[in-house]
Amino acid sequence: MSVLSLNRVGLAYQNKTILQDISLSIDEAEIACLLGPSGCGKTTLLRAIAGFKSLASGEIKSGQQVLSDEKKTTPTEKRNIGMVFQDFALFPHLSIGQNICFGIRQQTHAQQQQRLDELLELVGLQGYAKRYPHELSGGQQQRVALARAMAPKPRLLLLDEPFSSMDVELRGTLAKEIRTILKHESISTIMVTHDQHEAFSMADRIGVLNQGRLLQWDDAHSLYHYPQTAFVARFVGRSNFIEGRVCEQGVSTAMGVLPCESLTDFEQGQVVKVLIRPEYVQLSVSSEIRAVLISRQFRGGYYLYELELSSAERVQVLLSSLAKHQLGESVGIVLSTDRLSLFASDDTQGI
Amino acid sequence: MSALFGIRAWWVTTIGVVMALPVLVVLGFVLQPFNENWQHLLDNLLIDYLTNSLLLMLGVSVGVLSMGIITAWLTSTCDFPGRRLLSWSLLLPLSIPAYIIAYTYTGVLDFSGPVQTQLRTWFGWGYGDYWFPEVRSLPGAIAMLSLVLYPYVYMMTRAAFLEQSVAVLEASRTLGNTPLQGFYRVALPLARPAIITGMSLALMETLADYGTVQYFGVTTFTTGIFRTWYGLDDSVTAAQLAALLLSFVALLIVLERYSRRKARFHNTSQKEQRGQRYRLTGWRAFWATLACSLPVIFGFLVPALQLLYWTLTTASETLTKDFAVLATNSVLLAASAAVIAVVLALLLSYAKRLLHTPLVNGSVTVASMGYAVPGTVIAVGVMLPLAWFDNTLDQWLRDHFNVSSGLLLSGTLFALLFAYTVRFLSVSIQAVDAGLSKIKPSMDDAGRSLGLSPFGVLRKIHLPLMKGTVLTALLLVFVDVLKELPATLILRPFNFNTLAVRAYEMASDERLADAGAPSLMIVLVGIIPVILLSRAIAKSRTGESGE
Repeated sequence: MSVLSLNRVGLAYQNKTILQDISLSIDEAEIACLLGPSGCGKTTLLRAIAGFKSLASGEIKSGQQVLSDEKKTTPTEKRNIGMVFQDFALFPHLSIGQNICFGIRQQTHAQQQQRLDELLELVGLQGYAKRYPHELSGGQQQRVALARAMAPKPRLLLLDEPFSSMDVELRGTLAKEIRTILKHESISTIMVTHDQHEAFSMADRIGVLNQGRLLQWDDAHSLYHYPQTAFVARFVGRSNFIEGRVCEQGVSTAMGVLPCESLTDFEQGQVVKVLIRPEYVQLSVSSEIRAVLISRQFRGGYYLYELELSSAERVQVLLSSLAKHQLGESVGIVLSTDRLSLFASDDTQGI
Repeated sequence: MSALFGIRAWWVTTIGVVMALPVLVVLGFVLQPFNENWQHLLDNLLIDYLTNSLLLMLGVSVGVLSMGIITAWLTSTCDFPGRRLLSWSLLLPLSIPAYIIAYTYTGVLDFSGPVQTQLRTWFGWGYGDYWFPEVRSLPGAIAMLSLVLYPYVYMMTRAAFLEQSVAVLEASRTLGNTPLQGFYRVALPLARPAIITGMSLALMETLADYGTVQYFGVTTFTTGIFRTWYGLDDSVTAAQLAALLLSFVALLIVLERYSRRKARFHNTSQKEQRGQRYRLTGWRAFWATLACSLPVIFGFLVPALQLLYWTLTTASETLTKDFAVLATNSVLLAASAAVIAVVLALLLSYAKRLLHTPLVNGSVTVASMGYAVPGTVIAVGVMLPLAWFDNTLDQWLRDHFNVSSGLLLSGTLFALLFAYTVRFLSVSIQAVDAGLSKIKPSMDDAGRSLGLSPFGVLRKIHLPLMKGTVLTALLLVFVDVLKELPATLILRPFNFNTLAVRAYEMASDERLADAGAPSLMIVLVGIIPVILLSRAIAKSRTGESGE
């Protein structure tokens, strides 16, 4: 039974479509992430799930219970869905303890105290109950916001850009901490971010949104290696596209005839684009496929080289920095994978 | 360079001391022996002053809080017909001085006024057949003061509600609270410092009021000071009463400062865009529109129309050359006071910016305390030292040169302008400070590095950038002086009249209709800063335009 399922959800604001045809579902204790560029509608979708926005079409269900459809929107306070806001939205007039107990005030004092102690220990803030939000650092405030949202044991937790106000160095550690906490509590979570690294480090499943549509709903590995659209390929990770022509053995390109996925979707002789991730390319002295090194950037363990193929197409590749190649050198290359993604030629235009 | 700074610091301290002089003088009189009039006061009057002042403050608190908070909440978080118009109209009653609204309602509600006349025609009642509430009473005074002072609470509270991050309210909903519970548990507690600030400002005005309570026959500290000063001709006891009144004011200042300080911690960052307003429909929308219209109707429209009616019916007698003299007096006086206050404010704010010494900051704080001190108290505090100076000088000249200097300062416009400056310097300092804080200190440094003196920075960089601010400051002081009544009554030179004084005299002579023209003039001028204020508020709320 899924904790939350969206069925063909559409949302409009002042006759402008913001989201359309979004379907997905979250399982018990799963951490999902909505990833997309700013303005793609990911925050709007999160707010629709929270009940702050009404749907134009489709439905949002929790188990068998309909939370939103085009006719009705269950008020936020009746949904039992917790949320951690981008700026944490702690109540500045209440102490940390009062903030955390805000959502469980109907419980007895003893129950509240017990839950408070439990949560403070979980987020590592024992002894902070009497402090006020302005006395805490950003990371501490975030953990308080998380504890407050978890206190009523919501069926689902929403995190809106949880690390956007953090230092870059802090983000990695916090993401790890929060994932541990969420997994410890087995709490289903949806988080929103525009940063793929946050998505990779937090989520079990990632949905990529663009222009109000859900392009792919997959785990991080599939998203990276088998993107279903050129947008996803470009948005997630570094990507090169080289031109090719579909033939019987695969796709004929400047890097030779390549074996590809989903060849049957294309006609023989059709011009297509092949996705080459930088780390797919390796050097091989014996290879007949030659390329010239054009430029080089040092990246610590790797160099990011730009290669020019015989077709004059350029490809960025990552190569170990143990060996240093001269610019202008001609090298032999091979591909280290045999499952490449193909896209219709026009699909990659304009991105 | 440091010599230049040294002179400045010295000036600032001097200004601070001079501005504090009236209050110090009044406080100093507490050390004087209490004379036999105190027995009389203690036996009969003081308990009245005390209870009436306290009841007045209590009543006005209830009035301004209920009107101010409800309208602020409705206009800042809900949407209903007329909201945009009402959200700035609700500031309009601020343009009517309390004593003027008191005159108009007396005219509207007394036996021969339109309301009672209409009731008699409808029901065929005669004199004495029916009971009608007496507006000239303590409850009446509470109603009048509440109607014109609630905008302080409205303004501060509305700003607080609008500044609250929507996320905070949404967070309360994700934790199981309805919008109304969110209001009680989050929005209202967060706005509490702002509400208390607004209320303490309204209460300072209440304590300072003389015109309303005097006209309604409610004896308070201010009327007591007048009575002792003029009726008993006892300046010492009057000053001692003024000192007592000041102790109430001091409590309010402490309350206000405390809540302003607390407000810093109640900031919620506003990264989220403003959420949608609750759209009210049907009866709810009707009640919301009504709740926000009533204060505007009774606090502004009714009195303004009554004044207009009086002005038109008495135009041929009141709008004469005499009236032109009156208006010119008022305008010149207010303009002079405004210029003095703004020049001093520029000097003080600029010095505070350049020299962060505790002495300078302290002096500026002292110089801007006047807003809380009732005009009556300042008048007493100005009159006593000036009269002493005049008498001493006169005596000395007579003794040594056998000539008389007469009253050099005390009976002149100098005394009046001095009192106005003490009372309203804070208004201009506040406006100038706000403008100055928008000019980054790095601009000062850039100017200095390009060879400007501190004065050069003021003249070439700040003044051009602050033209608007300076004009606003001038206007605010101008209007406040135009409305001022008690200090003007005490300190004006013999036979020198202003619009406010004329309105007061006509009303005291039971010639309410003749008070209409000068009152209307004051109200009309008073509307200008209210419009400026509402525009400034609208501009600072960029979130509003996105709805």
